[in-house]
Amino acid sequence: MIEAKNLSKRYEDGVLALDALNLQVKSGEIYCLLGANGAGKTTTINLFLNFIEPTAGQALINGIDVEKDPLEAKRHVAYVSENVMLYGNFTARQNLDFFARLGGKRNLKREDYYRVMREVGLPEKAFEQRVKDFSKGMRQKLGIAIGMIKDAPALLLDEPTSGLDPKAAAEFLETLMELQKQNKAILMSTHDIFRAKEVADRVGIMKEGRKVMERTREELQFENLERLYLDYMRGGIQ
Amino acid sequence: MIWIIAQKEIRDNLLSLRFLLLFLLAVVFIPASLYTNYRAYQARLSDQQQVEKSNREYLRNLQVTQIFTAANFAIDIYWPPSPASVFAEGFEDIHPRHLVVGKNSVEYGAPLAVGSSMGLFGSIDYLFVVEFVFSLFAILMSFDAITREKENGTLRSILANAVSRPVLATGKLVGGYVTLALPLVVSFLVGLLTLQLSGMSVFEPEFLARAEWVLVSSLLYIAVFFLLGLLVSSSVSSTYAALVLSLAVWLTVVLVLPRAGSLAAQLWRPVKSDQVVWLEKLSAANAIEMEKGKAVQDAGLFPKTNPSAEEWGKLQKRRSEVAAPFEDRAVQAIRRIEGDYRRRKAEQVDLGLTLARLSPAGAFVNFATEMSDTGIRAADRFTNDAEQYREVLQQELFSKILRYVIPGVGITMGLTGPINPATLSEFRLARVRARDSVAGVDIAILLSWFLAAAVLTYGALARYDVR
Repeated sequence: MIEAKNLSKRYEDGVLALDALNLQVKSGEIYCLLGANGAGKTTTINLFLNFIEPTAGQALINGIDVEKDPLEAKRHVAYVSENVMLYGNFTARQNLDFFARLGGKRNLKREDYYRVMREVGLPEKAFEQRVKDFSKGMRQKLGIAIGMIKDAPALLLDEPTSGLDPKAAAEFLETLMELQKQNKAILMSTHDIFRAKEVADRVGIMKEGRKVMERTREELQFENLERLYLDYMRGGIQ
Repeated sequence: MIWIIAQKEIRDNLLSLRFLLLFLLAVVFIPASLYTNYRAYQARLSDQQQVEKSNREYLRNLQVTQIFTAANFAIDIYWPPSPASVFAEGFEDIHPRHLVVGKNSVEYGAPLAVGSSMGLFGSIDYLFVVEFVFSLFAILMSFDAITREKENGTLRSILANAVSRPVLATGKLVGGYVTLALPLVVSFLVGLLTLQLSGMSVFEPEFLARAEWVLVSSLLYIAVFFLLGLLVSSSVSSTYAALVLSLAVWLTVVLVLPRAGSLAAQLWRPVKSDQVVWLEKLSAANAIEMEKGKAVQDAGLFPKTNPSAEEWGKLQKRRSEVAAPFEDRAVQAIRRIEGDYRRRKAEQVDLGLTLARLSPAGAFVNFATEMSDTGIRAADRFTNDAEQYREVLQQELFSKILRYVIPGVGITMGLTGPINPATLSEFRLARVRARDSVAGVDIAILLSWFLAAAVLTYGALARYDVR
């Protein structure tokens, strides 16, 4: 489970990037955070990964306070960034092997890596290919493979479909739903309202560091998410 | 976890162009410089042996019956080269290797060989390769270790796992250092093999001990620079800024700090020039000799007519009695001036060396040259041994020559007795053993730099903004 309790972050320059965020992503749930640039989505992810320390509140992964025990908390979470950048001189398998071992998977075999890469839709010929020759879509798939091979109960995704072509984005979402079936708690920040509506069990809209709206999949059946989002961004709804 | 990161670093570095370049430079320059220095050592040894042989023949055949011959008698001595000089020429090419021991002083002799362009541009020896090339590559191997990961986005991917920042820094240090040390160790071993094949006995215990210490100090020295690069990389956010800062650090630590030590010493402890000291000694000796001549003349010991042999003997005996206090005074005056000059010069050199050794480059150069037996202590030993040799000759030879400056008459000389050059002592340079050459202070200084850089790196990385 991924949980934020009154989570706040004020930077040294005085900017309040996150203001008392409360959210809970349960196992087997996909939660999408929507918002414009600077809304606080990436700050939220950074707090869950202990890249920055909160000014107030708590970020919890599987009940472990990230600030108090960051290493233990990070054993239970996998992360996929907006631009999955890997080691260009290494092959896909070598990259996967490195991050798998960092994630605590020490005794995996070549076939284990191949299986995960197949699951995320990487072509066979790419397995032993250097990553510097990969397209963005292929890198994102490998990033997901890295997240999957760690087999962590929580998954943090920061704009994972940004820059992907529609086919690659669709494949990515299929993979995401597979992970959901494996009972992972998934928190995804995105600009992509269409994809969010498609996969999310819950959607939160963030504006200027605050979560200004939250809807479940069921509630969104009767509302237009795009309209809601635009209204909030224009400041029509407080 | 450290080893996982270290393995990644090793693999990443082995595939990099800079590693390939460093490896090529190392395997070419280190064995080549060791080989050429061995040839130079052989040439110097041959020269020195030839000169010693000529000296012995000259002394054996010399008949010092004439006062003039005795008064102008001087012995050439040469700094015997050390086999370990294959690692660092040190003072061998800077310090005068040829000294002329005369009655009043030890003077610099003419160089054995004509200088080459090497004197102008400096030569490439093992010390140069490690001090400049390896230290530069060490810092260039690590300056972007953190910033490149940040710019590539992989730093976030790594730290999203249960990897603490000290573990990350240690993994990067271990992995990067292994790939840096590999070319050094391999090329060093290839160099030793080259020396063995060229006829040098590298397994001779004394030489091997010196080689081991030179390698150990080199490995420690490059570790300091690798950590300095890592420190820079952990302190800035962009690779460009890290490159500029790393080069500035390298320039300061390698080129500026050691020289600043000498400069500061010259400002704080100024010393008269050799020429001024020589003139002071000459002036003091001449003044006393004038007094001595006058005293001898006042005593009526310069007869106007030629004395008989018996009278001449008595005259010389009485002259010696009158002259003795003046001779002693002259010797004391010269010793005082020389002693004062040497003390001040030693203070200046010590201060300059102490300040220079505070930098890693200064400490490494001092350590490596001492282990190569070509350092400042080795050069001092040569000069001091030459001075002691002059004391021996003073007893055996120069004290038997009497020289008078008679006001209004001129210079006259005499011998107190026969001199047999074949019985004169020969010059011997005292060699020190390898273990006595180990300058523990330099190792301590390098370790201090290493530890300080490590602590600062861990501190900087703990505060590093990975966003």
